[in-house]
Amino acid sequence: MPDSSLPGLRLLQLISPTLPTGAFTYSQGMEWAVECGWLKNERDTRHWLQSVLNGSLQYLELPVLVRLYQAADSKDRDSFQHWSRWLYASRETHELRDEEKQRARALFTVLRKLPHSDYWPELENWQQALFCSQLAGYALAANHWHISLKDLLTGYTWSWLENAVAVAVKLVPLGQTEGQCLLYELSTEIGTLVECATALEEEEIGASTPALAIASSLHENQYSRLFRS
Amino acid sequence: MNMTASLTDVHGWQAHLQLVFAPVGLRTVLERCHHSGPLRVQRPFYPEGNLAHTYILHPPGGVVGGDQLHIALDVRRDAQVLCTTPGSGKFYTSAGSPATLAQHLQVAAGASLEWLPQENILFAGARLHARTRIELEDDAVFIGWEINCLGRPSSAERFEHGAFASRLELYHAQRLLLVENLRVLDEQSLDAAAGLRGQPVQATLLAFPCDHAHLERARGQLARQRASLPIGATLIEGLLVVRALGGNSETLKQQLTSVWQALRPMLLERPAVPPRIWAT
Repeated sequence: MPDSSLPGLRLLQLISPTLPTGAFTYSQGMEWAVECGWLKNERDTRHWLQSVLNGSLQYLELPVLVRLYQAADSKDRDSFQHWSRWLYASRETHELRDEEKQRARALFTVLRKLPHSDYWPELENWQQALFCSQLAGYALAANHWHISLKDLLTGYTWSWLENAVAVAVKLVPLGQTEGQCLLYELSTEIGTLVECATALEEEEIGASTPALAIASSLHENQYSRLFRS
Repeated sequence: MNMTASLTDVHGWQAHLQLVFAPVGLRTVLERCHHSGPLRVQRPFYPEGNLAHTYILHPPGGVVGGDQLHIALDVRRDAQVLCTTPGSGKFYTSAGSPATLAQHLQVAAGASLEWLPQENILFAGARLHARTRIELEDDAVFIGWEINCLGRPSSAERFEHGAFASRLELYHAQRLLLVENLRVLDEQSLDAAAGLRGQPVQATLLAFPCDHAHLERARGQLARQRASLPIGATLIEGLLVVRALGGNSETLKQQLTSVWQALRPMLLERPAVPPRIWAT
């Protein structure tokens, strides 16, 4: 009988900040937003993160993750490739695309080196999609490890938020405890967010965050940087 | 209320404009023009040699709920076209179904399209679904922009009770390079910190094919302008994207025009002289 606690543990491993995909090396526009005075304190940071949650998480990443997971589940390679490319084409700047690709490759490398990954044909056959977007790797692994779709969406959103708060703690800067309060507060919205994202029709998918895109564009040649471009 | 007016209210006006441009002799001509409903095109003229300057007109001057505007441009192999509009597109308050603006731009190998319409102004309470699909073949050249003004900042009118959903897709050689989806469904989204930040005007310029030299040129131009508004350029897979937010359309148009002027000599080997109609 399979261990029923294993999917939950696999999810914790997949979304852990110790997973070596370099999440903490990118600021997704926040470093420039701090530099130009958009993010001065806890309140600004909360509004920024909230608007990303209600924008690109709800309308882009989560509903695309739903479709990637379903494609993995039904072994539909074309659909998997389509949504991975679509996610990549929705990344608004060179820097955001670079992050997407780097993290996709890093995640692929980890999955490839796990024990028994030889018996995982999609890792070989779906490489193009897996190299395009890290969400593809998340969806494939979650499906393979019997993590439920809802848990995957919840876990992914949590890991995004945890990482973004860690970046804000470093940059804004915020105190460690202030960061924890922010996480505690914003994570109460994740449940509703996941529900809304799951219910979206195909033509409703997609998001643009103009200020974040401009901040990320300007970060590409910002004079001094802590975070990667 | 007469019969015609009530029918208009229910179903809206359907307008189609399909334009095919092709080179004939030394010039790019409007080879085919099909229109129905209130959309027109002015006869092309040639202030700079073979390149056709074209103005698209919407005689009613404004769009209400339920109206549908469909514009399709097919720029055939080796044709060269610059297309603009004499004035801003106005979208009025509408209670019922949203208005639709669908644009399909195809540019063949060896051809070029400059797509420089004036801004869309969405009055408070307007509802608009805009969709733009751009398809570029191999070495097609494209410079285009979209400028959207939500509400009327000149009379301190915020875009309240309105709805705006805009999707833009750009394909090169049938490969999807960029999808943009702007969605303003409530007042909260007008102020979204990572979104519009309470700025009424949002603009995007796209140029293809570009490399680092184009990116540096665009950034250099923007640095010289010393704009006090957020504006940034990035280069994704040969596509240069400039995005800006601001308080009024004029300032943003000036910024984008200056980028167009900097890029045009590099992409089309032509000096950039703003179309006369913009000055009127």
